[in-house]
Amino acid sequence: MRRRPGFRTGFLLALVLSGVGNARGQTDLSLLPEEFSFQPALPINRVTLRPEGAKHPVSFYLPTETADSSGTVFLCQVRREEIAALRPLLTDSTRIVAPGTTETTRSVLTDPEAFWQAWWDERFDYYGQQVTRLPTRPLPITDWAKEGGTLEVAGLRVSTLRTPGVTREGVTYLVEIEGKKIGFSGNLILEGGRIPDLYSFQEAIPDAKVGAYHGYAGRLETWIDSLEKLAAASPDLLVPSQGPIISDPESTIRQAIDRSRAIYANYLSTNALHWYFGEERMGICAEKVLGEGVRWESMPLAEHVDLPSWIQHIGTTKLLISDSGSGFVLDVGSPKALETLKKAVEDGLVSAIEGIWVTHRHNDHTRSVAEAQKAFGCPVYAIDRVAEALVDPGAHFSPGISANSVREVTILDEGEEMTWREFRFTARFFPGQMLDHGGLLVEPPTEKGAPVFFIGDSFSPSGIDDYCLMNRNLLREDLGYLRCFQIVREELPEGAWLVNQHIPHLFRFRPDELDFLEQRYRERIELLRDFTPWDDPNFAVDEQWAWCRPYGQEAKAGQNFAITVRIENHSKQEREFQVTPHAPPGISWVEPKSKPFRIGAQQRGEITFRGKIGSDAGPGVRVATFSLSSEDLVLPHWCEALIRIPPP
Amino acid sequence: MAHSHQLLYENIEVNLTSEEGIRIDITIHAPELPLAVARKVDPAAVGEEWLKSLSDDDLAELVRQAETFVRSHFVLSYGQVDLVESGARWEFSEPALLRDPPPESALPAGCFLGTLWMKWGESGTPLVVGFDAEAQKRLLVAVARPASFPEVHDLAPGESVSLVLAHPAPKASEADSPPTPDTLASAPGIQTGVGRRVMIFLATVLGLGGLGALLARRRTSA
Repeated sequence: MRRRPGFRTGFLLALVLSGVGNARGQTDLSLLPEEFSFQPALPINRVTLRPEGAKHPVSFYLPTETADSSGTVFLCQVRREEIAALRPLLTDSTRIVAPGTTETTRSVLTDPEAFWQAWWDERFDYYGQQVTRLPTRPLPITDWAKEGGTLEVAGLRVSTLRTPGVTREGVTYLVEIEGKKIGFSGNLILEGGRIPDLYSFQEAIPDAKVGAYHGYAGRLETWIDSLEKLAAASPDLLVPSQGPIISDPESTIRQAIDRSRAIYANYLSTNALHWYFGEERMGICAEKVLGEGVRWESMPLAEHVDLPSWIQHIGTTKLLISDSGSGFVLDVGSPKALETLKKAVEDGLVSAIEGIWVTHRHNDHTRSVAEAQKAFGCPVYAIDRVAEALVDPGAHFSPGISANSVREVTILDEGEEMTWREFRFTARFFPGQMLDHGGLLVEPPTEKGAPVFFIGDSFSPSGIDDYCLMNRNLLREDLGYLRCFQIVREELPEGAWLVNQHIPHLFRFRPDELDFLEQRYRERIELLRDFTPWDDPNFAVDEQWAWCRPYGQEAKAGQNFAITVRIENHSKQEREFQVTPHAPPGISWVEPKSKPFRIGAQQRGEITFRGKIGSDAGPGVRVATFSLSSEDLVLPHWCEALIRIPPP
Repeated sequence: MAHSHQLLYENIEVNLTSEEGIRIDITIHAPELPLAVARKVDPAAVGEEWLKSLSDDDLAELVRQAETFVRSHFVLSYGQVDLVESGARWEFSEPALLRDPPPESALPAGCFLGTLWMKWGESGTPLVVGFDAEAQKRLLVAVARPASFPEVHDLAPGESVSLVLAHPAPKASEADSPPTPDTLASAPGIQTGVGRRVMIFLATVLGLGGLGALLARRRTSA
């Protein structure tokens, strides 16, 4: 059965409207086999095959019609939005084939509750950096697809290629119909040689001893291998789970690989890790993605000198010492650093610790701040974005956030000045290594030397610290490294030095070095714009453009609670968003059920939902999810919040 | 002390606060040893449970690999004598302590210590720490001197530092005259700028003569 009108209408709709499936090519409809029914849809395509004489149809991603659910449905990856869209279409007789290539995938599909119960604690100090859009309810899987396996279904022979990349578990199914080999490749590659997002690629590179946290696009090597394997299978067509059909797999794959390599080479050229890891480890990373023997570029180290005597380096802590003998601390990230500070007071090296500035949220900078505040009885200062995570860490989810909450934090506004002893401080919002990041300009009396700008972890003498996509390094003039470049170039006193919390040196970039870093960074933004389908590349690098606050909270049975969905509209156009909450068992929403609201271009908006825990709800962690839609975006169950009901 | 992030730096701490001798600690980040790399352990994501989960055999193998790593990446010479070649041994904890290090060690997850003790030599004898040119991280050498801030030296692969050692002063004299920022500025532990550079240069001239040869010999013998 051929459903050309439906296909054409849907395809054109996708061509015109789809942000995720923003098509830039055309599919020759005559290429499609007769049995093939394809409905491009958001967020997931619907594909059903009805081989002649077969009793039940075979579907990929989602069946085109509810009635088709009586057959077999093949899933290529485990993403909540896809499973949530499938769930209402399932019948008792639906046979589901899902990737069983990793144990994690199997367990999260069959027993998601175990994952989420554990996640309540594991979300703290987390450096695994994997996307959490995972199912919250079990899905009955009939067959697990594995590399090289084949299934005979409805007279079709469906073979499985393991094709990880966008996800760790990704698979591609190959089917021959009417002499054409068709690959159902999920989200591995989209039409135009693009990918759904870049943040999903954050991954460890074990051979280079690079952990997931430092593994910017670390799954690109695996992804390229998957694409090469897919190309070697010589499919005539690729049917992705999002966007239009890929009618020229070979050239689309080449285009995608070339784009990814250009982005990775660009990333390497501006990278702060050269300072720490040196050429060999970065070379291993480069070879894995760019290929053996490929030349890659890096910036020579910027000028760096010893710290002045009024700055002491203690792990990731810096201690300022005034002429009076008192101290002011920047970050306290470990018990060891705290012990060193205490001993410095005991030994009379400093008379007292009179304040603590916290640069950013990572636990190697915050873990012992609360204890230090108690020990020294001093105020803790931070910008608002850092302060809110220090006071209520469970309300936020970001890499390496410590569960140790700080009792009280004094917020310093952007540009606010304060005087400590003979030093003048200026607080800055400095969205470098992570979005929620501050900088502190410290201006000593002239005789102590040049001003020093404490930049947290935002630069090293070799470049920028943008190796973890989950840190939200936004690609905007007002947020992210472009803003940092502007501050460093134009808004610091002449001759000011930079200092990174990990590095016992002052350093500064020459104008030509800043030109190099900024020019390369702007080039990367354009490369990402071409590589991802969104109307702004920030959606593709910012996993948390929509997130829930609080991310985690406790509420007792019978109690009310509230969750705010915050949305960063990265588009350069105003958008209307609709947010729909989904209640887990034992929880109901009080207000509002769903309500559209508008957010200006590159502005932030939010909507708050109020709910109630059922009086008979049992203890445990519940996961509330929220669907988003906005014109061309349909994103079911896109973000989640955790609610822990304690035992009575 | 001034322990730097284990993912970004190797860490050596030289403790000069005891009259009994000099204690040198090296922090081993076990997820970067070959056993862990072969098992694709994520060095950034290991928690305290990882070392606890390993068998005695695995831990013994990690210790063997740590010894090899230390021998091939660092050279310590005291008064031109290569400490390891002269018989000094790095000591590592038993498996039970690797799994459950005492809280006061404040070790980051996945880490354990190698410790080397040596007796004080002549006052002023330089301790030279050399770092393999093919190392994959930088090295932070932190020196603990009595009543001083940690003295830190940040070395790139292939660099070395010569430390000026001085016996710890008797505790009674410390109590008599608590240090102030002014007096600290001239204390050996926190000399900065030109003064430190001159002393390091002199000590380096004395101490580095045989270091290149030692490093080369060590690398080939590892």
